[in-house]
Amino acid sequence: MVNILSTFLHKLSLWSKNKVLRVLFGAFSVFFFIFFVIVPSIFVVSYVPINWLEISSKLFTEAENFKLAMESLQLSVLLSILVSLIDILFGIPLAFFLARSKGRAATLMNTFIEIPIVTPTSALGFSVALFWPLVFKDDLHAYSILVLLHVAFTIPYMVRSVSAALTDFDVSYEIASKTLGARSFTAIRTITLPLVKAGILTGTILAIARSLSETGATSIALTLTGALETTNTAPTLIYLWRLKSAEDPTFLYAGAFVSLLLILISSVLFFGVKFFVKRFRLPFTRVYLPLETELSKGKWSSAKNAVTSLFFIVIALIPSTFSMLYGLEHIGILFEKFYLIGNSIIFSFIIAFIVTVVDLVFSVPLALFIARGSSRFRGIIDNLVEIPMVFPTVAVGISLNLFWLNLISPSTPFLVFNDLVLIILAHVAITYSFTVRTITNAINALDQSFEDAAKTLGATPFSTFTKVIYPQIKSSIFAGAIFAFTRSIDETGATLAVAPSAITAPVIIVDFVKKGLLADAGVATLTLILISYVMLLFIRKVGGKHG
Amino acid sequence: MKLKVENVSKTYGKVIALKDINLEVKEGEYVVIVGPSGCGKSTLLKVIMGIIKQDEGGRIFIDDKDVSHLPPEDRDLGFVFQNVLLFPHMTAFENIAYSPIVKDLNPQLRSRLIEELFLFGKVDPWRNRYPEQISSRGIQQKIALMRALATGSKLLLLDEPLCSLDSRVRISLRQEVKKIVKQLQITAIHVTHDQEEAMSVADKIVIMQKGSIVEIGSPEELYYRPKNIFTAYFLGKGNFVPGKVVRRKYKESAVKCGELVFESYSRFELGSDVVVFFRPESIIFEKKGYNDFTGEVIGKRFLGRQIELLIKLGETIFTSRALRIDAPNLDVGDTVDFHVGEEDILIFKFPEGGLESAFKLE
Amino acid sequence: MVKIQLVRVSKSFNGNPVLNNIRLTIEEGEYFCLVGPSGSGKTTTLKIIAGLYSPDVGRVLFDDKDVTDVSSWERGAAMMFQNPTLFRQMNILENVMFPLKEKNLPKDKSLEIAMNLLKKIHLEDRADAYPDELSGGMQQRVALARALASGSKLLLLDEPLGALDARLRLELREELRRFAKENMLTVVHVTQDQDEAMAIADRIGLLKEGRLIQVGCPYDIYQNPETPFVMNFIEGTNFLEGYVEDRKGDVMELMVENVYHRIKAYGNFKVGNRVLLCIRPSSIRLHKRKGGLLFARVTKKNSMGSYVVVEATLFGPNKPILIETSYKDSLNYKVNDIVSLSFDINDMKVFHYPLLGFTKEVEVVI
Repeated sequence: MVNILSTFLHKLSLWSKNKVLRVLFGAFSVFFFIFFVIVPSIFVVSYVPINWLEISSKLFTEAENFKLAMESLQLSVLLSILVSLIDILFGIPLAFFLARSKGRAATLMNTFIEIPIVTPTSALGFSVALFWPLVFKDDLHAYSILVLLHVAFTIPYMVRSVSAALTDFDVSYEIASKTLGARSFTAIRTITLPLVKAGILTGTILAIARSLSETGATSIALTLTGALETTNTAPTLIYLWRLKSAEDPTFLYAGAFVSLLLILISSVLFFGVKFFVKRFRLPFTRVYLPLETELSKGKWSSAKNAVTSLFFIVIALIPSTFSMLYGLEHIGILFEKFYLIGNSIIFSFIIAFIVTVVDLVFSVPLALFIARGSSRFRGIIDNLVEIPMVFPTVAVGISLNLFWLNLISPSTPFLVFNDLVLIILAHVAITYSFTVRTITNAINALDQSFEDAAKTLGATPFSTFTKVIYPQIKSSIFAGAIFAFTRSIDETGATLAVAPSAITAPVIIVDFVKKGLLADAGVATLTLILISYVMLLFIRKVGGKHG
Repeated sequence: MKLKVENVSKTYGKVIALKDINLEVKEGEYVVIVGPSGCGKSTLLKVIMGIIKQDEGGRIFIDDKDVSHLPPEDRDLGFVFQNVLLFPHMTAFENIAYSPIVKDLNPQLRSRLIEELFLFGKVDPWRNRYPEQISSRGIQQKIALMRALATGSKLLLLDEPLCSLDSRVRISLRQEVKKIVKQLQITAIHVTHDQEEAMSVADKIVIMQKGSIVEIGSPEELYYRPKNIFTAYFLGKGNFVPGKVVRRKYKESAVKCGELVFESYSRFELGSDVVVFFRPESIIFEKKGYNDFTGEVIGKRFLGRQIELLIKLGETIFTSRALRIDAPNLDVGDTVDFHVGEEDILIFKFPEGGLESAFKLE
Repeated sequence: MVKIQLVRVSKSFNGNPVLNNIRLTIEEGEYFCLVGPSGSGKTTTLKIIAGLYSPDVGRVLFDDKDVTDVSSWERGAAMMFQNPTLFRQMNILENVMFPLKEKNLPKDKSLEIAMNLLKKIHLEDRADAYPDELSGGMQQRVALARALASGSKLLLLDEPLGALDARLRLELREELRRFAKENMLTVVHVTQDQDEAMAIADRIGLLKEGRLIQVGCPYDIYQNPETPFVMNFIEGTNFLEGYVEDRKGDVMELMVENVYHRIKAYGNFKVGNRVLLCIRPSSIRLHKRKGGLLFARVTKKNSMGSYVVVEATLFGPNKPILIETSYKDSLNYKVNDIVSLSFDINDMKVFHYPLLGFTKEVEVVI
């Protein structure tokens, strides 16, 4: 058995010496990317103009539809901007606390930050939507709940991005500024903050993307507050119309329209944010010495740490985990609904596993193509990879659904593909860019002299990959796999868009809430959260081994 | 500004980075701290700057003021980093203007100071460029120097400032730096691993090895009359011949190394195990009546300004260097008479652990 | 041992020309040093020989066979870098065995060869150590052994000592040359340190802005530089401007900026030509007031250890001139003394005054 494997690897090594085979290998991964990720994701861009007659008739004859669409888009945009501003205000100081402090409080907060991220958003939505009305005795407007919900699941991303940027930041720059006479506060505002702008940008874009994209939790929150008929964000509206399209297929047209607009708006928004943050420069012509010296003192730093930590705990941590108590109360239901809940979780895990494998198998070749290839298309592909990362997932789901429908049978508006396959395709389309990006960045960060030396010592391209590149990027590949896996478990919007009747774990929670079975939802949430946490611990342990 | 370092030590767990450092630097002196990588020289500089905190009991005095517990921003020193560290998001001008702004200097004074520095350092052409637009690392480092000088400090610390520069560039820049520093009457402490750099610019050299100061002296003193065998080895090529003291009369002694006998001055007792040391330039190609030897030329190398000859005598191979215009007309295979003056010979105690361990560079 | 030929090699990156029409032959068993300032194209040349880059124009030949289209893993030109590039997940024995495994040698044979190589570099008792446990110098030795294990008869070194301390470099460069000669390798060693090249090279090639300016043995390059740049790069030089006043055969009489006496030099320039006189500090002899041709006042003395640099202001042009002399000799002169300078006519080089100006020709961009 071992002999067969080693002969096979040896053959691979020999084949890698052949330039034609190498080119084919690269072309193959590019083809996969274009055909299975890019084209399905942007298909809706061509679909809408082509079918404009049907679409406009659906939108404008039934008076409400167009108005609903515009209102939902407006709400989505305003919500995401407001939420990201709140995230910046509280998230950045919190990130400083977590990245710089070594004490027990900081370590504890570091674990707390992970919790809303690991919690599947549907579960989080249920939890938050349950918590706040209890606190404010039901006297809360739907908008407030939405803001509180979106802040809860976006702020950890802001904190993590800025925190990572701070950890990567070469603190020697700050030290240099101190040798030039700058106090702590001055050093941070004049040197550190401008130099971690990239991290702040990433965090902001992630926050906006998550907010614009979020379907499951928002849907649950709106249902619980009874506002689902009157209020909708763009994703929840798309979802609503997707459901209606099972009986009235013309709603697909309306859904496609909103999806297209959502994709366009999010692209413009990101472009705008990127442009603005890059150009943004706090003017530095003077220093307010007495004020900044005072602010540099330890006590103000501790105050900031306390306030931001408290904010996080109250706004994100407690609301996210609240439903666990609720679920525990009704734990008996678990035995009744065991099969149902169990099946959905297993279904989600199977999907996630397949998605991760597909992602890895096709990302590594594409990453190598971009980072080490010699084709003149490298740059174009590199830029193309960025694009799907910011598309709202529900819109991608709609687009992808329409693409495969049109490909297989342009005339019948029914699903031909199996639900499972469609969900996998949708999840791959959503996660692929991230794994490619992670692995590409890892390869680009390598010191190429190792590979050069290996080659001159006789190593074939295959050997160079397995013995030189792979050992160095192992942990990034692992991180990419983890990301893809957890993202897939979590994904609600795209799943609902391609297969509204499939029951994955997040979807079952949405379902229960819609049916008013709050206790069932609570139990499902509890189970899902617990399993996610166990997974997180397991990953941490295995990850520690791989470094 | 003058500096005094008193009983400074620094340990990291089991690793002793600095061991009982005592050092005084006079006002206006250009001191170079030199030693192999890991000897603690950069650590010492960072302790002086306040970037690293020394262990309990160590003190730093600047102009007799105890600054041991002050943070870097309060010590009024200038620092030039090995990695340049120009702020990437600021132009050359803004980098140099940083310190005066941050110290809230009067705006008029500020602009005058900055303009003077630009002229002085001859870096005006790059005024509005960002660091990544300045391809020459030498220019970048000069701007970093101006930035440090803009603090107005009279004590400048330089941490391997010429490290990653081409050797030709290093040679010209090190002289320029010294000239600027002397013109501004600033005290400077310059750390480097390059012994040639140290010899070239230092008023005073401090040799460090494994966390301790080995020896302090002027370049000539340390090169021709080192008191420590590591100093002798580190500052340049030399001839080291182990032997035993066989005769002793007041200050004069004779050392027998195998078949050879060297006469010189030393204070070692009869029978001591010692090492005879002299520089390659000390070999003279004529007989003088004592310390005369005859050997065979087994190697000749043209080094440009100097000619190097390897001369074999018994089991020992001597290295000789002479300026090209003074070099004798000898070739490989020739037999040659040579002499070493007793005033050019130094005798060291034979180091415990042997020569190789005493000369360990990494 | 391998003979290398580069025939009319040119290379550009993104439209920027990096190498221009390089013509070079390196003999079997030669220790060849490629020198030049940063950005002159030394690393690119090496990588083209290794097969890591392809030339835009030109061919690469090994032992008269065209290898331009042969991939680097089949060329047999092992390359070493400033970073030892030892594979971190393998111990040093496994590192040395790496090229042997790539050739599909049976395990026991690879082990034997690798252990022998470790013995050669005196690290056989550290065979199971990992690269991070060794010092920089030791890691480079392992990299050498690994290169030898590949069976390559050609060794390409890209600033192999660049990451090491100055004093260590003095010792290790001798070891490098010894190792190469003992194992009969052809070596191309790239460095920006001209002293290193002068000390260990059989021949030196000087690159400037992508062009090979001069090739020759250390003595040749030093004594017969073809341009002022070459002369100054190999060893810092004093430059004086002047013009040809008279000429008899190939002995010229030069008029130098306000200097009273005319200076004799060898050369075939026309009377009236503007010229650049170059004389190295190590070629000038100091005398007390009498004995020399030019006069100067001592402004500074700087001990470099094995020699002393005396800086003086030359009367006439009132320019600084550097003189290198022995320590003992330097003791005869004090700052502010007036000294006279003499030198051998053979050590004075005369060039046409550079068309593009002095700075552009001579100075290395700092």
